[in-house]
Amino acid sequence: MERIPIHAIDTHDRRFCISYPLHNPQLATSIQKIGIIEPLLLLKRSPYVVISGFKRLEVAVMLKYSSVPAVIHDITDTDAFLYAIHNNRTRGFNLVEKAIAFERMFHFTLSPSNTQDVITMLALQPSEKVFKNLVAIANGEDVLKDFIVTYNLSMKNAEALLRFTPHERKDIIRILSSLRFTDSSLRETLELLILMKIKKGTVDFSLIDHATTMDAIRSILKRTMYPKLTALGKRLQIIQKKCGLPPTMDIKVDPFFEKEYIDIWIRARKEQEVNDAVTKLMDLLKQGYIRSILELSKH
Amino acid sequence: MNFPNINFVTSQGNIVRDCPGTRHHICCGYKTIDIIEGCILSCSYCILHGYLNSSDIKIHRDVPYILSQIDDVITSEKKHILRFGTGELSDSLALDRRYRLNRPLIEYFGNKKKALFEIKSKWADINHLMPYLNHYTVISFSLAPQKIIDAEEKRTSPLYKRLKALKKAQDAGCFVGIHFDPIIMYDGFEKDYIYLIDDISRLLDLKKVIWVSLGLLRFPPKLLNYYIDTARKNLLQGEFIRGEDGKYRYIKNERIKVLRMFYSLLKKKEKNLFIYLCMERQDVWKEVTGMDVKNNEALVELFDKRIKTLYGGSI
Repeated sequence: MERIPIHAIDTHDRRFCISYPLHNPQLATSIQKIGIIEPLLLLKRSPYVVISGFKRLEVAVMLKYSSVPAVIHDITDTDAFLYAIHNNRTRGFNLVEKAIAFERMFHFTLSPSNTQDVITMLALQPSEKVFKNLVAIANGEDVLKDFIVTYNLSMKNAEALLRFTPHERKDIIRILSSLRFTDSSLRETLELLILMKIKKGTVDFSLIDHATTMDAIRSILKRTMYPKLTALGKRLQIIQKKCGLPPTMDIKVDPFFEKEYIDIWIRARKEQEVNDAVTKLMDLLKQGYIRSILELSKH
Repeated sequence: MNFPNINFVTSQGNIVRDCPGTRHHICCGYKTIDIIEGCILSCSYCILHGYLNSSDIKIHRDVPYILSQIDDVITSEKKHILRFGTGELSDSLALDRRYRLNRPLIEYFGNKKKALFEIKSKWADINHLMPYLNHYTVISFSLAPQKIIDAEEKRTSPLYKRLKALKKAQDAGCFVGIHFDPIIMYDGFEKDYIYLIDDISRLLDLKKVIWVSLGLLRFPPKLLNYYIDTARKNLLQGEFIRGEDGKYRYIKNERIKVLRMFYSLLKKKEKNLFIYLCMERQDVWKEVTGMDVKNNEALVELFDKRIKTLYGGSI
């Protein structure tokens, strides 16, 4: 290990950089306190090229260090790329880093077995679709990359975001960034948005611009994209309200109005409570409410 | 056009199978002869996009092996008149002029006289089969407005050619089948189908149409992403819900409305037309046709009755 002056390193050459994001406040605090413990890996060129340690170098430049500890390797570019991946694998890669590493792989002349090793190290599913998505993420805008990393998006949700134009993505990310969401609620929301785009030719962001929760967004989108199903749900609610069921009774209807039957639920501890429930049901039958519910899915 | 690889495979296991059907939906008990797996027509909505892992096409050419399986199935059936078809995992005619796969089947069913063989297609080329056609082969075409053929069935024959082929089969003495499946609900679809049904009734003898199937677009979840990725606007119109079998379907009261329209339009053209719903629920059957088709067996019996009416004692 030796100390290399920063001016002897090409700080702009990022051909081996697979770290994203480079800015890491926790690392900066740590280096400020105790300095760089782990040396950088540099490729012996003039000037030196960083193989691994981009984040550390970023902090060192920020802190105006004059030199950094480093280990110099005199190897080919292809080997340097493999070093970069091996050196970072223990900390694990986020989805954007996997995408960057995958995309960079094609800039070097890797043997088929090395290619296979990289795919295994990155824990990638070997499918054309996954590879296509990774290249798109690697070449995507920073707003997209930051969103993927910040919210630790799954490949499915990243793929769903890639279906939009960069401009649309920017709006989606702007709206969603202030909300709390789960992987599944995000997936559902993105699916509704893409359906809107395909069906209507455009995404009307004004509909959801002022929504304050993910649930509100989903509910607005569902109302817009499924007006008939929403109307059926409303009609059911009205009938159920009119039924005035006690808390010990419920009429359960398929949420998609597909099943031919309904479930009538009664909770009873005494014979009298069963009797009361049956009386109530007879009353509902007489008033035609049960028939109205059964007919919801047919007309 | 990229032509998929054609692989001739050694026939093993069952080539003749029961139509897979689907839970909570009434199935007609069709028997599939999966002599070809995969299709060159590649219609945008095709369920094969989700089922088959490769775009390669597998062809089983071991005719004696296949015929012996068909024979076993016919022999073991004591109650019903079986209907077989090669159009489940492929199009029956798209590759037939090149590979002549249907001829031995047509001849087999013609000699057997105990079951029907349906050639179901969107590829209107039956000339090479004309000398061999017999009463026990049903020539069927899937029909849709030309607008849908142009947009979603790009590699198939145009509508007028399909209708011409049906007419030719009728003129040769065959019964023909018509499949409105999938019916796609796009803006203005009703008008297009009204014109289509008018054309059919003008060109064909509806008394010689053995059956008409109606089936609205339905697809497994895998295909939703495929439709989204390929931005299939026509296919994604309408409101889809997940049925009890996990497949996406149009919301039920919309399906009923559309199926009723088809049923009444067709019945007005020919009151004795045999119309069945493909993979629909019991209550949809009731609402659309007024018939109480309680289960698969009830539908198979309706088919038996229809075939006996048309064939009398010759089957």
